[in-house]
Amino acid sequence: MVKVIFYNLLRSKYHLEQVLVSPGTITDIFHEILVKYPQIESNDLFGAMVFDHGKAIHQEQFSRFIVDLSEIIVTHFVGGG
Amino acid sequence: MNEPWTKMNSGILSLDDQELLSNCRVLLVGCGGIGGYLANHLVRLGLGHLTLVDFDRFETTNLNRQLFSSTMTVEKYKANVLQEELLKVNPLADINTIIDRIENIPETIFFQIDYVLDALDSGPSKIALSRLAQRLGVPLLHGSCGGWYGQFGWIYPNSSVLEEIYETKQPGLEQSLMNPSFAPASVASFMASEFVKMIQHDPTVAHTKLTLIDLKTNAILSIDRRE
Repeated sequence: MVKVIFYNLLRSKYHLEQVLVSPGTITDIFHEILVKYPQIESNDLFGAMVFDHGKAIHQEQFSRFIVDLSEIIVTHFVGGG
Repeated sequence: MNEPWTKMNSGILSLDDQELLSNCRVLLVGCGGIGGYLANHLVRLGLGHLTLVDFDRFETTNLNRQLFSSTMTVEKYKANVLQEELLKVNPLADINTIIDRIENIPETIFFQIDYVLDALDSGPSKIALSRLAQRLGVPLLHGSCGGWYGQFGWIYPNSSVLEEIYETKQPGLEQSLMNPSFAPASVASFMASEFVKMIQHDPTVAHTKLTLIDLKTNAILSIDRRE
C-alpha cells in the first residue's frame, strides 16, 4: 500500500491527515482517494503538488508511478510575497 | 540611553553573534508583504548590510498586508520606503536599494553577498533568483505565502527545489485565496529566526527541509527534500 499524507489546504479543508491506497500512478491514486472521500473537490486534489522522496511533482507529471510501500505528501504550493 | 539599542536581543544573540550580524551582507529581493516584515526583523536584529531589490511601487491593494505601505507611501518605490523607514531604526545600517527586476541586474553587483533572501511573488523571478544564488555559490532563504498558508526553507546552490515547485503552469494558492496580513508576517518571522539560527550555526536550522505553515489549523510541517 501507499501512504498518502495531506498537508495544508487538503488537511485543513477536509480534515484528512493520511490515507492508504493501492500503488499506481498519481492519477490512479487520486481517483481512488476521490472514491473513498467523495466530499473532496476534484480540482483541490488535481491542483495539488505531490512530494515523492522529496521531489516536487505537478499535474503535468501525475503519470509518475508510485510503488508499493511508498509515502507521498500531497499539498499545495504558495507563491505570494 | 547609554545601553545598546540591541540590548533586548542579547538573550539569544551573543556578542559574537551580533558581530557576525553587523558584518553580514544580505540581498533581499522583494520588498512587499514578506519582504517588508523580514527587512524590519533583520534590521532590528542588528543586520549591518542590506541590499533591497524591488522594481515596484506601493499601491492601495498593498495596504491590507505590506508593513510599510500607507496612504502616505502609495506610489512610492517600495525599496526606497523600506530604506527610509529602516534607517530611522538604525541610522548606522548600510542599506542600499536597487529599483529593478532581479533578472535585469548584473550579478557582478552581488559578488560580496553572503546570503540571498527570497520574498518575491512571481514563480519565474524566484527561479531566476535561485539560479543567481547558485551562480554566486551562496545559500538562499526562500519564503512564500498565500491565504492561510506559507512555506520557507534554506535552498543551497546544489538544489533545484524552487525550479521543481515553480516551473509549472499550475497557479499557487495565493491566486485564489489572496493574501491577508498575518500570512506574510508569519512567514517573515520564521525566516528571520531561521536566519539567526544560520548565523549561529545552530543544528536545528532547516537545512534540507521545506517547512509548510498552515495557519488555519496551526500546523507546521516539514518535508525532507532530495537535493
